[in-house]
Amino acid sequence: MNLWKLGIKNIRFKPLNAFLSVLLLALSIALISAAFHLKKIYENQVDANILDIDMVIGAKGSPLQLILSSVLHIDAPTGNINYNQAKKIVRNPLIKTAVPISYGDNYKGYRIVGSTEEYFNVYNAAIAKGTFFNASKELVIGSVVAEKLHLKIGDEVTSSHGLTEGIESHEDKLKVVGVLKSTGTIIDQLLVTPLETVWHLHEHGGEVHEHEEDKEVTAMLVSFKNPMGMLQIPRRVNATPGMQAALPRFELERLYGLMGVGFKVISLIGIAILIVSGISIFISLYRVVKERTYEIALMRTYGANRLQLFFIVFIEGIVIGVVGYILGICLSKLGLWFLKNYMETGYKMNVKTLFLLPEEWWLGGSVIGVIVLATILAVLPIFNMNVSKVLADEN
Amino acid sequence: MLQTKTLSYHYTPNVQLTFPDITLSFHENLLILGPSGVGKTTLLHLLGGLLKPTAGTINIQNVAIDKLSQKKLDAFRGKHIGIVFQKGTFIKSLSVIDNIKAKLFFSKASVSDAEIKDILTTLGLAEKINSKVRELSEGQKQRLSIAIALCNKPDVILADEPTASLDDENAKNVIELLSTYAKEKQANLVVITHDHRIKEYFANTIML
Repeated sequence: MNLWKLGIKNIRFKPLNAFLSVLLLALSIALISAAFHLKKIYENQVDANILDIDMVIGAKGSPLQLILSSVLHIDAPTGNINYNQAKKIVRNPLIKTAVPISYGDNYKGYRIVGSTEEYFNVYNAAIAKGTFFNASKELVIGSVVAEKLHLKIGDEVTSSHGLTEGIESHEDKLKVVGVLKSTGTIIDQLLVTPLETVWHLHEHGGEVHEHEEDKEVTAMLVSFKNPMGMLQIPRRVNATPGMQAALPRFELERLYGLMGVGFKVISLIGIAILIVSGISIFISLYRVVKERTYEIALMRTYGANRLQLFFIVFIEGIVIGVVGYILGICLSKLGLWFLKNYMETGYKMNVKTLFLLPEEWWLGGSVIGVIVLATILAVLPIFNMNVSKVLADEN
Repeated sequence: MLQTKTLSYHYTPNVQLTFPDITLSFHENLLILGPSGVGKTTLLHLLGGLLKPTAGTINIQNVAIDKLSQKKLDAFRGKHIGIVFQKGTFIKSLSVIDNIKAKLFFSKASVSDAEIKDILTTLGLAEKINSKVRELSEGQKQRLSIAIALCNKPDVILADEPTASLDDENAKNVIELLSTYAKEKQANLVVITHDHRIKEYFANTIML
């Protein structure tokens, strides 16, 4: 026999006492943990994909839309810009690299992006199998695309119009020549082809772009040599008719400001429930102590000291805490797992989740703190109990 | 060994109880008789260290227990004093055997499982060893209460109305059990009661 056994037996004797407390605690932990994870996933998503893209040049429209479409590939583009004009603007000593991208087609829901070989450098993407492209109509595909669509070197695919799985297909076949290593960035979910392919696919009927100066791209991904660029170049871009400059970090911070409110609300609801669950644990322990006042007096006659009695009650609290915490974390994991699947199939996003965040350890620590407090408050009335009176009243 | 001197306890300035001096040497027994409300239970609780006397001293095994700190008193009580309560009352969440083990745990006594079984067999509870305490009959509860009081071999046994709810036959059994134990272990048995049926078993009697 020991204190642990006594505490556990007490819980098992009346499990319903602890049930509500466990439930409330699990719910609050699940909400808070989910909010932490969502925030983390979002931050990772942004950090992984912005890399050193300092500025995006695209057609006039919503700057946020331009970033979402050209950097995160989750929205429609704002339009096209003249390639030559764009090239002129980026011929500037403050600019380190400027990578053109052009898109508008997909293969089974995965976007086909026309670009140059520099595009692979933006994402530090290396070839796993095959080679980079050398000619028009050749494709280098991301690791997720290769895996999900079971594509391998030499396979031929037919692209469809639009950015989501569509009806209208082009007749020309594109050939897979390379598969990229996994990078954990958006390029894993893209099919990359030379710019010429995209231009070729869109030469409908008589509308042939014969002249170099008529060629268009969707956006330019720009990185600056030094922060001075950030001050000068966007102004020049915005002064050019039909063009705008958008700064990914700025736009996504803005978006985060909006989403951040959401995370905060979830966290606050979680904290509110955590407080309620703390009160519930206290009430549950207090009732337990009241109910067992006589038994506690009896244990005192057996030779138990007050600290031992405190521990018996504390063990009950801690079991509620640990079970509630683990259940809550499991609930949050389950929720995130569904969300991850949804995002990966629905949005073709590669979501990375961590097992336990440092914040969740803190959360576990606060739960223990709450339980210590609840136990102290619950046990206080019996700490100076009049053993004699309790025994005499019962007999 | 048990000795009290000029013992008194004041609940309020108007309710003051004073008790006659008690001196018991090894294996001497004492019956304290008296109607309800004269402070029998108060005296028992004073002797058990559950109450601190307002005045006077209590010596058990040559330790002045009225001078001990709360923690030392708890430990002393666990080791030297066994209390049998009027109603068999236990830790409800534990089985018969676990109630005994809880007592042994808190009193820091090491008693082998075989010895526990012996005690339970003597008291006719061998069959009930793993039963829940609420499944016991009144008589069985009273006997379990005795088993718990005696299992760690205390030097002083205090019994509060141990026979009040028992019939003649069981009352006799209970008193014989307690006296036999006291004799074997050279322990002091102090019984407080208003039950005159058991007077014949005691040489020393105090009327309150």
